[in-house]
Amino acid sequence: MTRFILRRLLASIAVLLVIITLSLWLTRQAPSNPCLKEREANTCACVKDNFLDRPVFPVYSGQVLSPVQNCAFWEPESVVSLGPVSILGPSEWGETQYSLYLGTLASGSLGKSMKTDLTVIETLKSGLPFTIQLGFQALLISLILGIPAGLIAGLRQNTMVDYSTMSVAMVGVSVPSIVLGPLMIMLFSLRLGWFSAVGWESFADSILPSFTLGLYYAAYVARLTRGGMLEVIRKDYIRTARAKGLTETMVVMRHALKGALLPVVSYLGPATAALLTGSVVVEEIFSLPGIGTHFVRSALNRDYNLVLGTIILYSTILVFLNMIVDVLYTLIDPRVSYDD
Amino acid sequence: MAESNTHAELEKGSSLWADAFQRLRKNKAALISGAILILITLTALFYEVVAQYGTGFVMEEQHTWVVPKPPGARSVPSHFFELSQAGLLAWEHVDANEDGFVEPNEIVAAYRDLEFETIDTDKSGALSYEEYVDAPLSLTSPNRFIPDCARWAMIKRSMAPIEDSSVFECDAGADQLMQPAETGKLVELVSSGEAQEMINRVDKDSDGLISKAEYVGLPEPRTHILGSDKLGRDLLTRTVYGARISLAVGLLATLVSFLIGVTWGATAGFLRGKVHNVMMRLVDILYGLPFMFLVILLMVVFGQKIYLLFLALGAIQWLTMARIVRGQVISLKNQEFVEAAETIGVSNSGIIFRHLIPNALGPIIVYATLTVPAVMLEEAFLSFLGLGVQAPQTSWGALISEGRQLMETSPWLIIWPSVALAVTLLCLNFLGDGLRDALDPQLRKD
Amino acid sequence: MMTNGFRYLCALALLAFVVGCDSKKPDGTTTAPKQVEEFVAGSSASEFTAALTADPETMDPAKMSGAVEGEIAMNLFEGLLMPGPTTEGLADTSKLLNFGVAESYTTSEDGRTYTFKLRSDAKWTNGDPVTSEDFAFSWRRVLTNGFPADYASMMWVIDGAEAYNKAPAGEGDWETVGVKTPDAQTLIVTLVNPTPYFPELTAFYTFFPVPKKAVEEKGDEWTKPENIVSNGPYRLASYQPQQEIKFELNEHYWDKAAVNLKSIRFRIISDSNARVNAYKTGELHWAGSGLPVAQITALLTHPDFKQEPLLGTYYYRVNVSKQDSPTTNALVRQALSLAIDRNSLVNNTLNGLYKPAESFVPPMPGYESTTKTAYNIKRAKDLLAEAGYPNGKDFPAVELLYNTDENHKLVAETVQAMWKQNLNVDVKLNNKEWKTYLQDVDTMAYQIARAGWIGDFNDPMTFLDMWTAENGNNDTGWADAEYDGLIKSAQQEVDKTKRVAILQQAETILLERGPIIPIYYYSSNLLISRFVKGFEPHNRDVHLFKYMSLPSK
Repeated sequence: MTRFILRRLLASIAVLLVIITLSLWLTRQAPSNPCLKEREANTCACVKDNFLDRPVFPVYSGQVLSPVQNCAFWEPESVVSLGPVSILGPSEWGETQYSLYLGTLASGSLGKSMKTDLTVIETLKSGLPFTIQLGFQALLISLILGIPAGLIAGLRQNTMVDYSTMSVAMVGVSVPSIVLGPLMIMLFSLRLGWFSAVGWESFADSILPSFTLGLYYAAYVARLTRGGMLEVIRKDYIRTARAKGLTETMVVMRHALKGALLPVVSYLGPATAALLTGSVVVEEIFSLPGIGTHFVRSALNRDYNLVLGTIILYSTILVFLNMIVDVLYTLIDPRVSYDD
Repeated sequence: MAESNTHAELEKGSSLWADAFQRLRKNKAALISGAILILITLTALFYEVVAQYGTGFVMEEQHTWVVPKPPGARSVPSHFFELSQAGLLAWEHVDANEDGFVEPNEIVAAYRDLEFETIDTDKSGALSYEEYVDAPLSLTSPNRFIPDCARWAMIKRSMAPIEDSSVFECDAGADQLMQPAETGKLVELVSSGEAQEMINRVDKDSDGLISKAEYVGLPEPRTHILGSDKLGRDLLTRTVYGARISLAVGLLATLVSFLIGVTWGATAGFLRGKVHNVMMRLVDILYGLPFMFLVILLMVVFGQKIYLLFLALGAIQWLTMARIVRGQVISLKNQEFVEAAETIGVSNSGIIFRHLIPNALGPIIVYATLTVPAVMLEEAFLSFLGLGVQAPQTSWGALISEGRQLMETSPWLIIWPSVALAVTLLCLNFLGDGLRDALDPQLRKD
Repeated sequence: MMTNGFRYLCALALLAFVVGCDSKKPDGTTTAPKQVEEFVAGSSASEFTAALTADPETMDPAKMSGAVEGEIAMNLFEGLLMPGPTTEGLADTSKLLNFGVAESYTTSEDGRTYTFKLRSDAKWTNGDPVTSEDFAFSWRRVLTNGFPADYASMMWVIDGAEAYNKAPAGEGDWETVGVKTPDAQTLIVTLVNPTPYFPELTAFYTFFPVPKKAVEEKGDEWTKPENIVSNGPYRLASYQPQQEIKFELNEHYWDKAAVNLKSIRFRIISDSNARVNAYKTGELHWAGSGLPVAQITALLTHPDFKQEPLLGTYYYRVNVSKQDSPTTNALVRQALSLAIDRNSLVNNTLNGLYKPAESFVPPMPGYESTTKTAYNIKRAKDLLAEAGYPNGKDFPAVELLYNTDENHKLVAETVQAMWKQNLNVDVKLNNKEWKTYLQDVDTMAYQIARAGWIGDFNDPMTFLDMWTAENGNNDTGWADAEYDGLIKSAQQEVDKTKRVAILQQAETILLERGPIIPIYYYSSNLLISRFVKGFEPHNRDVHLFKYMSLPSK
């Protein structure tokens, strides 16, 4: 078991490195750069210098700010001092922007945002609680609504209860959040005035976004649970349990439930990933101060450091969550071997 | 789901499909869904025909006022598909000052009369309040704040009207009837710019006027069946065009995911051992990555090119496909027909692609059907964030995103693309479920 | 699984219900009662709440460059002079400003030396007095080479400032710069040229003072909410990125008795539709400007809607450096400009939300353009023929670049149609995402590009000096010695009337052979609670909370 976890851990770190490299390389391929504004700026967080024939970015007190568009990525570069601002340029000492960025990472920093005065970590810190709470509440909604619905439907297969629950679930997986969200705002905020239309000030403000995000997954979980239940309920050990004279409730709670929830548990990993990434859209619809909003905007602003920081944060969360789910899965279902 | 149908396989290879089809035929929901999907696909494929004969508008053309018009409002198509010289569009009527030439303002006036006649349902020559309110002329005032007549007069010059009683009174005066002269721009169907454009189309001698010899008629006004958007573009036409993009993205991206997933899964399942472990572990790990973020980054970096959208969305959907294929291949691999093929010296790739994949096709098709809605959803998300298809192209996601901005005053703008998207997704899901039930008999044992 | 297809159909019915219940028109009935049933702005907000369109990039006035930052700086800090409540109906530029930290100033005969007398009761939020030394320190900081002050070049009007700014850090001699502080209450500024708009510059945030002590102690960290020290009517109470900024009354402010709104809350809402929604649900008193045209359209009849002229021009910038492009020919540029029916564009296409621009410099107190680019097809055709393209014959297709946006698209398509119709000239439209568009403009990789310019102060110079050959905002490759000469002589001219005449002459050149095609003058379309007092039209969209009040109902 320990070996299994250790191996997964190593693999996860390797994946993170690949992701970081890939995103770093990608951001650098983007046309334009963070310095450009509509009107000529004297300098911004970066210095445009003609002798280097390309925009370059400064290093404040040794802390690297960002990679440079169209600059050599792997090739050595150096720091040229220009008064209080230092800029990154080609070097003879073998440091590359890639290694500089990794060095920054290793020192526990994600650099400074290239658009605002805040550091990337400060920015993410301000948004993360909202995104996490939104994701968590949505997950809760999906489980609380989805599992009972799926169980009931599975136990009452081919009855009216089953049909109606599953019809609702089918609609649930077919109405995307971009449709549901605006309709909810229209109805509950603008028409009925029950909730505020934008922002996140109190718990009440989180209700609409959580439902918008969670209902799709609730429907999905219901379908999964029902499928799992149908599969389990015919198994021999359930028959045995029934034959022993256990009450139906006992059979379901003690024996069937665990088997029926297996597909749901294995879905938790991808679901969390989907919830976190899906929150980008919901944050946009409800103008929430989460990380997703930062991400889209910073990508458009070419705020390289913030883009990279967000990707790194998300990847880390997801890679490790997935690892945990895998470990959980092996614990629930002994049939899954972890030394495959 | 996986590792099934070996029995059917062994009994009679081809009857699996026949069986499946039989089962599918009994599933009315799946059949209806399939029929609706075919209908939607055909409409999307023949968008040009739909535009010319159905809606009468092309998706990019804009009309008159920069306000969304409700379903039922009319505009004059800016192409000459269908010309009319009858009634109020006859030469005698259009050339009102009888100087032998048609000027832009005469065209504007002719259409104004035409529209007035349509709104004036009792043909009394003046509009009553009921006729005025029933006419789909403009969006309604969302906040129900009624401007005073002075303010109204100021706004009216540049804006389409807001339908309520006091505004009507501002225009109608004491007699409570709105005469043609009092309507002002209210019933104008074309702007002078549009009129000039119409003239230019038929104006052979370039004098900026239409002479009687040049006159071939003017386009009939057409109804915006689902209303028009904030640039005066026909919503139905745009929704049909959006279907084309949304479906294309859904299908092509699924194809990409299909190709990657099947190759990957089949190879892993066939090779087993170390390679298999590495390949599948990679899939496990990739499962939890924020792919959507990478796609967003990709769209920003390389611009919103539509083929990139296919590739990127396909590339993030192949993981489950790879898992399913691998499971199938492993269960099939140990069967005799594979061993037989090995014995007669068929190459590895030959065995994978000629023997294993065709036999594992059932679950693969089922999963592919379920991938289409997933991809369409993702495309809609991207377009919603403004990172999907690029204007002038549009997709349902982009339409919903645009509609959201005006959902309060013009709900039709968000409702119809949403309905189109939701119905299509629903049908795809039903069809996918139906196919799964049909191809995966184990789950139907009851 | 489920075989009964009809059961499924109820799902469809449900869906139809979900989306269908809203498709009915709210006013579909025939007897619409004459009731006024509308929202009240700010009804669910506990204090005065305004919207910000984005997080401020910085709270350091020296580094600022945007509108959002301006909103912060103007209320948190105070310059020597401050913008007055309104620009409406003012013929005289001197009425634009109120005294801030300065209580009076005198100008020398030649207009080059300004002596500001600072008020003794001006204080920072920590109680320290604001001294002339703070100003000298701040200005020196802005002018330090390499300091990321976007608007450092605005200070080049000060004698020796440009040289100091360009000298490598540490090598410039501050003594040579025309900023002197004989005592804590006196600031003497010597300018390169008589600059009649210098007083207004001191009311611009780049010229605002920063607290010397705090900046020296905390470095870049001084703008953090826990460290920041300011001298305006308000102090920063809290800041939560992407959410809100809170201001509270600065207890040490010299004029605090005049401040009515004791606390201000900014909500940061970047989505413009969300801003309108928040306004409608009563969460905001002021929805800010930059609202979506489509939303505005539906609110035009609302008493909270205000349209104010803005000191800005929407125009097309023409690249004249490309040898193979027909646009290098001034006649072609003028023909293109004359062939646009701006009245129709603005009134028919843009719903009259802006004003047609027949010159480049919008009307402002103390200046009126003398040349008008009136719509004239005949003359446009003649000019095009003179340029060698009679009736558009052999005219190579030109590309019109704009950043992706519905409004820009609308304008571009309308102009495209007008050029085709009036001149038989083909134009291809090319839209790019904002940052890519900026790069294309910056590297002059375009033929014609959409652009907008908002003036920084009420003087035509802010619109005209950008077209001199050396200016970094030119980006068109246009260089005209006569024009540059006129700008230079206007800068040196002491007599105000003569100066205006020279500038008018320069603008005529710009319109006749310059690299621009003006389209419309901006206006600011905004929503603010009609109960707010003291909110007057201001052509730079600067509205100080100091002047506003909200009578309790």
